Amino acid sequence: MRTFRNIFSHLSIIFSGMFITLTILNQYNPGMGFLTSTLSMVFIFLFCLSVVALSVVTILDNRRYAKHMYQRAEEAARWKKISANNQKPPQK
Amino acid sequence: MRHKKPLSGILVILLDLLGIGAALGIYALFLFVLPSGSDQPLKNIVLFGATPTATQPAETPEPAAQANAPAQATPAPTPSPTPVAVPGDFSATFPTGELDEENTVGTYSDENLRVSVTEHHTDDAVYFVADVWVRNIQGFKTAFSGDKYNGGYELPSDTAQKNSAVLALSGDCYRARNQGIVIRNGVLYRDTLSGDVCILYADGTMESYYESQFDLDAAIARGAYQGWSFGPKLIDNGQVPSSFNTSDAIVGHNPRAAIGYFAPGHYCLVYVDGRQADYSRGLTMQELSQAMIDLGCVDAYNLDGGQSSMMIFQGEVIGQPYKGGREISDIVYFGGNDPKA
Repeated sequence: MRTFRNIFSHLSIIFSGMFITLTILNQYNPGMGFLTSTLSMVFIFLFCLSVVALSVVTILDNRRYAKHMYQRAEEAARWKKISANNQKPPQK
Repeated sequence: MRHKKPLSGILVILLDLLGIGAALGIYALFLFVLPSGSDQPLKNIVLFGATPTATQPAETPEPAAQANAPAQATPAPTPSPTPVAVPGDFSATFPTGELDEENTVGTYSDENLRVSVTEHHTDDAVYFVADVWVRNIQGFKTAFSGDKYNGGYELPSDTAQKNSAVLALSGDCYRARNQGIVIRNGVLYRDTLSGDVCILYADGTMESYYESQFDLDAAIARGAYQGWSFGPKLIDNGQVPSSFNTSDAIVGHNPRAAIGYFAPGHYCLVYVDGRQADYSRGLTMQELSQAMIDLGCVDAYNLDGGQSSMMIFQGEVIGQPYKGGREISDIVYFGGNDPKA
């Protein structure tokens, strides 16, 4: 999961950097169609896919982490309860 | 699980930058280097040589007096046919006589073409105007680099030389974009819109359109002979447009190339030197528009400017193109080996 997250993160950075460059170029010469060409549409589609994949992987990873933390908290509470019971003074 | 030591932060940033560079390289490779799309035309719009149906002279109506004449009267001699101007033939208006060579950079005239190139100065710009008369619309020609659609890039001077052009101007560099109307010498090559459009019709009229107002089917039905997509449209109802359909970066001082229209058979090509502070900064879009109006143009249209713009007259590059010009994909030209030129 972490590997996928790394890959999609870097892909998103690369596509973002590319489109920042194209947007700047487009300001200087919109006639060149830097943002409107068919190829740009393909790259925008790939960018969207990588961002969606990154988001899904991140959400899954966060949920898994949250679940893991919840289980740990539950377990800690159970152990706390057990140890509290063990420390009770013996009844007369 | 075995853990690897992570790469240093600087290395990760460098690798990402390298990735961005590679992505831009792939983008440029597909957009500008590899052939984009087919080189086959979509449709022939204007076919020269076919008998023009619209110009068949109507039957000469009998004069009213003749109808009342007695039947035995001597039949009137057959009237000589009145010459009817064929659309695209401007012989009736084509000027004759010597060209005035005073204050010109150069002139050219033959039986089908008259060109007079003049130099103009403003406070911070130098531009050249080629006043052109053609006897026939077929004398107004365009050519692709590499001799075919999507044929690559060439210096406009090389394309002009290949076509033996008397006068040539850099075109709209259609190949730099995947969209935009491309109609050349009566053939439709691309039918998608991208910005304002300029159409030269086979009857010699030239009209530029805002992107939102252009109707390709109507233009085809009317006989579109040449069509360019760069823009913007430079004259709106005889006035400088209140705004131009392009970016702010383009409307500033720049080298320029533009086409102007006076009347069927009478056009002008304008080339503006620019980006050379001690010689010519270039014209803003507004200044270019005003210059076209001052020249007397009815309509005018901006072509690819900047380093792309270049004018060639009788084999010589006019003015000082910025950085010597650059390779582009098409030219507008007059003259050449075609007998109608």
